Amino acid sequence: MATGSGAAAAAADAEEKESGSRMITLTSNEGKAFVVTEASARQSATIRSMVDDGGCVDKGFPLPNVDSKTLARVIQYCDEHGNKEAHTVDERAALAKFDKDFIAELDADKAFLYDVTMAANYLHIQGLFALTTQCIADTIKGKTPEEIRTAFGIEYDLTAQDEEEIKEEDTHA
Amino acid sequence: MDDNMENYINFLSDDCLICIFNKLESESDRNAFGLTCKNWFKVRNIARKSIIFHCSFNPKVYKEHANCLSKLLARSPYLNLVSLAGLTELPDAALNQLRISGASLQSLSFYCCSGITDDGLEQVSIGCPNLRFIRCWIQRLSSPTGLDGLDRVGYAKSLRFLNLRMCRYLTDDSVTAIASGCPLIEEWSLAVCHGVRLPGWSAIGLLCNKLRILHVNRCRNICDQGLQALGDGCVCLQVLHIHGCGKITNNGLASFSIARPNVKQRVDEVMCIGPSIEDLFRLQ
Repeated sequence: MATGSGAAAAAADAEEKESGSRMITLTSNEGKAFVVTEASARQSATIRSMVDDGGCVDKGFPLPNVDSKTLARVIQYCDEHGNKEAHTVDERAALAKFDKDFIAELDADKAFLYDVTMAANYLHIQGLFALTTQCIADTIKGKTPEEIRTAFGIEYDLTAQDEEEIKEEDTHA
Repeated sequence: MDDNMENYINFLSDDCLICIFNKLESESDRNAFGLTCKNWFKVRNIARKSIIFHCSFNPKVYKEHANCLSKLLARSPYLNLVSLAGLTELPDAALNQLRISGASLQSLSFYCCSGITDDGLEQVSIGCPNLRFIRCWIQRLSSPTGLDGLDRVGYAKSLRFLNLRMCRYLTDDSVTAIASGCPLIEEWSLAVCHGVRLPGWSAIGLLCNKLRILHVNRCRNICDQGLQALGDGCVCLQVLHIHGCGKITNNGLASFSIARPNVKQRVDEVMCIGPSIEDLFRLQ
């Protein structure tokens, strides 16, 4: 692609608009490189701002907080949302179905769901972050504290006195 | 990975957990969240945006409220809105805790909290620089000087909306202090504030250049001269709620209408002023 050479600076502007023509390399913390379209990478506000600042597009972006397995899954989401158009009702429905299947699969593997959530937060992928946090919130809904602890494997570290105090506050505020 | 499975939710950072907490709509889900473990309790407190103690007309409940209020305030550093009703024994020490929320606190409401002193109010007004809305119904603050103490509201420099309806003992001095200390004030209710006389109205006319809406319903001591002082100043005034003011003559009101034809006069007396709570959050 024409990027990189100095003369292409003006052309790059025009190219921004039809982003997707450029390819961007994302590197996981295990050193594995993933090549994605710019449109896909722009789903991440973190990468988007680095690209727009004219950052190291050619060198690629090392992501020290994301492992390969998580990154692959995150890219799957970004590809779907970045590379495809969603203008018609049908296209939007297809995207909604993708999201539904995507989250259902993640929900089955909670530890992986949290990794993806953390990565979405770190990369500022708003849609994905909303999707995963909503899924976790839905798991919490309607459960007692005991059930929540079981569902999430949380260790109970409150004293009886703490619990009493919190309950009392809750009744007032 | 399997070793970590036991505590896998710990992999979620606090900001992720706050986001998840904010997606819980029902009170019971939010309470259950806080009772899960120490960290989630901490997250719930950070995510807490408002504390509202309603009126209960039961002295015992008020005592309990006062007891747990300082703890609640100390644990919740990002409050936008605090509304307290009927905490007659609320000590200033509890109010000082409000300063923990300092920068985020935008809206503060007191209803019959007679334990608050002028000093407490001063601490809050200085300590919370972004306070935009104060609603205060207090007959008289406990002030050693014997004054009403509400002059301390004047330290809240960002104040936009001030509701002092029914503060019967509000003095001219306090009104002047507030008018000069809060240059951004947009709406001010002084309904049923019988203590405000000509010097107070003159100060408002002179100093409140951003004031858009003023309420003077049932003020016994607003006279034609006071009304004229308001009309001579308050360049941005759009609405004047005026009704039941015994000292205002028909001539006085007519003169005001001629001098300020664009100020809409309304007779209704409203209890709540300013933007709705929802808008207040949206402003942020």
